[in-house]
Amino acid sequence: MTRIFNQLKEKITDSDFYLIDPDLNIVTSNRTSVDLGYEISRFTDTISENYKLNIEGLKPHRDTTFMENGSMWTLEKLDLKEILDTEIAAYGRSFKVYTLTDWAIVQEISSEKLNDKFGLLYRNFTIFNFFGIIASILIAYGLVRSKMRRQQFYVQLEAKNKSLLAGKAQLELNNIQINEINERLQIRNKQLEEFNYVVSHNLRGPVTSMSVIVDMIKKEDEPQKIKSLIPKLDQISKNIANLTEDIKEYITILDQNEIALEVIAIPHLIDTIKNEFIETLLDDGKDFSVIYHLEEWDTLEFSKFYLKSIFQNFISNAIKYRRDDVASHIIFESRYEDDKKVLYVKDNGLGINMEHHGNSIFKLYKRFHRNISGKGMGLFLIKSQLEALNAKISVESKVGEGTSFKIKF
Amino acid sequence: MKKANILLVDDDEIYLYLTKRLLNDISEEIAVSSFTDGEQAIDFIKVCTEAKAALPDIILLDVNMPFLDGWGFLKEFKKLKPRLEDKILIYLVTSSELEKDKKYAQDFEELTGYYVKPISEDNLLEILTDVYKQNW
Repeated sequence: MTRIFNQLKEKITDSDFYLIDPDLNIVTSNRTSVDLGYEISRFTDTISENYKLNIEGLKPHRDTTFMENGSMWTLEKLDLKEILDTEIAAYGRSFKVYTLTDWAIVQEISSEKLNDKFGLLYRNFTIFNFFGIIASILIAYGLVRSKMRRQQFYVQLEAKNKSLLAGKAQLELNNIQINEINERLQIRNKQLEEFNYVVSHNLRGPVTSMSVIVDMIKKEDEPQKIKSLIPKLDQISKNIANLTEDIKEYITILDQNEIALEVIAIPHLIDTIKNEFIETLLDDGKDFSVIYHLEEWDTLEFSKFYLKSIFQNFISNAIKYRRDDVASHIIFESRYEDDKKVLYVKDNGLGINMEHHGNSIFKLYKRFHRNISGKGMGLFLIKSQLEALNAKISVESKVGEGTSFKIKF
Repeated sequence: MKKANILLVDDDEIYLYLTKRLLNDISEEIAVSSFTDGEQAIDFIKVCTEAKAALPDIILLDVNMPFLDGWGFLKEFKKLKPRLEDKILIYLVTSSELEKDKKYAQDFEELTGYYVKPISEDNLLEILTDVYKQNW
């Protein structure tokens, strides 16, 4: 038996092993020189203290592997009976077994040996883990950064988008304002052109006549002939004076930068003007009616002075250029067109030949009816006053039927 | 010898008076008539054509006039022209120095000349010489 034990001890060298009985007493071990091959339980406790494995995990005495005191312990019961049975079955031989022990083999791999075996692996694993963690952290950091950057980018993009939208709205507003200004400038330009034309034609005329007269006087010797020129000079100076007055009136309209606006009740204004004309109408003994259809709107924010002048000119023209063969009238009619206030002023008077005069209806000193005195100023002033407040006027007319003006405020 | 016949169309009464006086000073052989707007002048030419009456040889035409201005007169005249037996020379006489008017005038082949007021005795002599060179 001792020989077998010694054999065991030699073979298993790498780790420590113990052969133990159910009471954890060491039967033999490579760590002890003594083999307890026999039942010694009844012997003294001193032995058992020294030859007992005081390892908690072994107590249940069943196959197990666990760590305790820094070493790895493995317990495997020796089932000799099973071994014997297989031997018998294989070889047909029978052994005589005297004592069937309940021993177990315990293998202890100490912490040093564990370290030797697994330490490197563990360190490598730790290093691998370490780098893995660092790599993960770096990747995570990269991801987070890119996500943050993207988020920041989105925020910036959104801010840019917002500012662009605001800019767009501002631009659109600017555009509208520029268009309005442009339109005003175009009207202004036309007015200036008109003014230039009036001056070059109507002022240059009398002035050149004067220079002709002066030349004649210089050459003329006969006092009588010179004297005959004097009334002409007088007439020229009066013409120039009248023209200056008319131009002054026009310039006043053009020059007015801040025109006082107020809300005007149209029917009341028309009534007031109508009353001013009553005497003229009565003198004539003719029938003339001022009619208004102001259901859609009847108040307007405008210059009261201008609007009064405009209505006076319309009514005055309608009376002056009426037809004798019909009951004459003038109609004021309010409308909304494209959300804008529109006023129609229609009469059933003589009408204007649009083919001849279409281009010059609103021009200064243009007259369209012979034998009816007129300065050719009324419609010119109406247009100028309306344009000064951004209103537009257009006209339709038929000879023998009447004239219709459309004012878009 | 045929008497020169000149028609003035202008709404400026003083211009008419002075031009008539200048023309009479040049020669008493010149017959001068006048209208104060284009409409009257065109109506006169229509009437003369229908009545086969003598038409003016020269028309001195203003631009800016009431009822029918110089341009309107020229447009109407264009329509009448095929029916006219004798040639009528039309000179535009205007107080306008505007380039726009000068350019516009070039589009009318009915126009023989373009003068800016004041029209002097020399200008009138120029016109008369042009027209009556052959006759005189």
